[in-house]
Amino acid sequence: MKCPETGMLQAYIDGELGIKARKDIECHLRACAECADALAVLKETDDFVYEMLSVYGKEAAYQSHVHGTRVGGISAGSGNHADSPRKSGYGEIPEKTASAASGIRDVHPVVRQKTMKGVWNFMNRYRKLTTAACIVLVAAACIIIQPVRAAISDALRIFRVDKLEGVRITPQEIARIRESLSSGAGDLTLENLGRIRLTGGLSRTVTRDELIDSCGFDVFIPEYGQAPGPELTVTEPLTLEFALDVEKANRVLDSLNAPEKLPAEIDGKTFTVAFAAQARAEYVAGGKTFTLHETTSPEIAVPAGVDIDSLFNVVVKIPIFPAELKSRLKSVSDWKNVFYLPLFNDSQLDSEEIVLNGTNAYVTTGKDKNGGIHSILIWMKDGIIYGLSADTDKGELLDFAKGLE
Amino acid sequence: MTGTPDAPVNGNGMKTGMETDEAMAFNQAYEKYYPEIFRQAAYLTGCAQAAEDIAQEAFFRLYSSPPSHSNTEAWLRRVAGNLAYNFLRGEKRRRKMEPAVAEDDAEKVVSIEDRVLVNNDVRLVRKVLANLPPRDRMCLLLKFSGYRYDEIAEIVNIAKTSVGATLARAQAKFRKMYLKEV
Repeated sequence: MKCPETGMLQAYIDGELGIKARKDIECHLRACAECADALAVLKETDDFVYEMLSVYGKEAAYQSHVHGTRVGGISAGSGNHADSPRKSGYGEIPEKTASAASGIRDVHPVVRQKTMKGVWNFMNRYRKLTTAACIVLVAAACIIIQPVRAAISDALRIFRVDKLEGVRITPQEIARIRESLSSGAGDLTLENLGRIRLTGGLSRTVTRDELIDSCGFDVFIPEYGQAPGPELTVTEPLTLEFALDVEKANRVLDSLNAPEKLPAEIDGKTFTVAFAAQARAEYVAGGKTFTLHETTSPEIAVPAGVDIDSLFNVVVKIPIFPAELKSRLKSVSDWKNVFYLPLFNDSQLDSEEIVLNGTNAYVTTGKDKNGGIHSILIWMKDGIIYGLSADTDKGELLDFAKGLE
Repeated sequence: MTGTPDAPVNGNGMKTGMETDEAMAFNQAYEKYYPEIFRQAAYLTGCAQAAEDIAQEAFFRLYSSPPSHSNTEAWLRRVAGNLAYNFLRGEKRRRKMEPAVAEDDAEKVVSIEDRVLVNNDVRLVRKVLANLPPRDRMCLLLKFSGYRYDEIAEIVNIAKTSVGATLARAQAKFRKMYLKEV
């Protein structure tokens, strides 16, 4: 047969051809290198679009669910063509498959699921401002924390947190960070630096017993005065895997005037942050909703072949790294297993360190330009991280906190 | 969902225009297929509100003029597909009149409340889809949600023999546009 047209090759890929037509094409493809190449390109594009639309499809299914309508099943629609079955989905671990035509790294697309509220919501609300703080946190969390236990295999080193400490970031430092980010790196998010994959993190309403069962830790749900029992939700463990694109990351570092570059060896290597289950209890008091969050330390897994010390050195030298944090890190005394919480003091955010029942706690209040106000109180005790948040000021939040225990 | 649309009744309060058997068949079809049709419409239009309207309309049509052949599901999918395509083309027209709205418009269904780490890939897909001509967008979405060439041809109003070529071009366009965005 003559070389088939593009439309026919596509129909072949899509399993739309009858047996005879299919056999004819296969016979032709064996003999004609050009058509074989053309088919390969079409197939590659087909796979690409399939992957992208799958993610989109899952999102549509999720949004249908959120929209409140009964929906049967979450699977994205996928045609089952008898002749050429489509691929069934993602592998479990992101794999690097170089895309020949474009040269980008195709880590499998993110499976987006509903994620934790509370602390994350708060951070997101002040996203532009706290992006820098996030970088600090992630960098700090990944690098400062000492390994607590040996890895199961030599492939990973696992990091956990035992303590929470606050670190002041001055308005000047924030301004400098903002300026660096807006002039150089653009909208700096984890996504721009590489690929992210989220799994788990679904929330559901539960009873007290179910909550205790679902959480791997000792959940404590206090009563508040005469208020009726709180509404309880559990968020299942969320895993965040990210692989840095070292080239992109180094360009960002460049724009931040960092004196050193990230080592090439971490390119594409997957770091995993495994968050524990999160318990959430919503109380209503005085017409306001107070949310108590509880969770345990996330675990950060660093892949083999990554020199944590050299990574640390590069990150710490980035000029936007707040001075107080740098000096803390230098004084070796008690920086092991510590999670550094950013503390602010400017027109929008105000943080204070207090003592709550003998434990260090940190309360931050944020005001947005519409006059909205939101406060969050964080402390850690016996390995459990607590967060209390509400759309109110520090005073009311602390009053409520006292009324809890 | 609030259940089936009200059946027309005559003076005695008896259902008219439909025998009890048919009413039962309709209810069964509704129970069985509504979620899937809704989800299908949401996927095709990218808008939950439109999806609801479309699903309701499809079932209304099923109720008021049920098709003679027995494959209700295929019929519903076809109707939903047609309605979705109409919606998309209408959307394009509306968007032409409000040029400033662009990307946000395509995301109108998404309530950001629960979103924290927004999936960048999904955002890009939405953007690319929104910028494709409605026919290409529709062809892609139909194909990847399981519609066969003959169904696609009917909904999008092209010859069945052209579907392959249209898809190949649309896919290449999608990929090219997506990679430009990344």
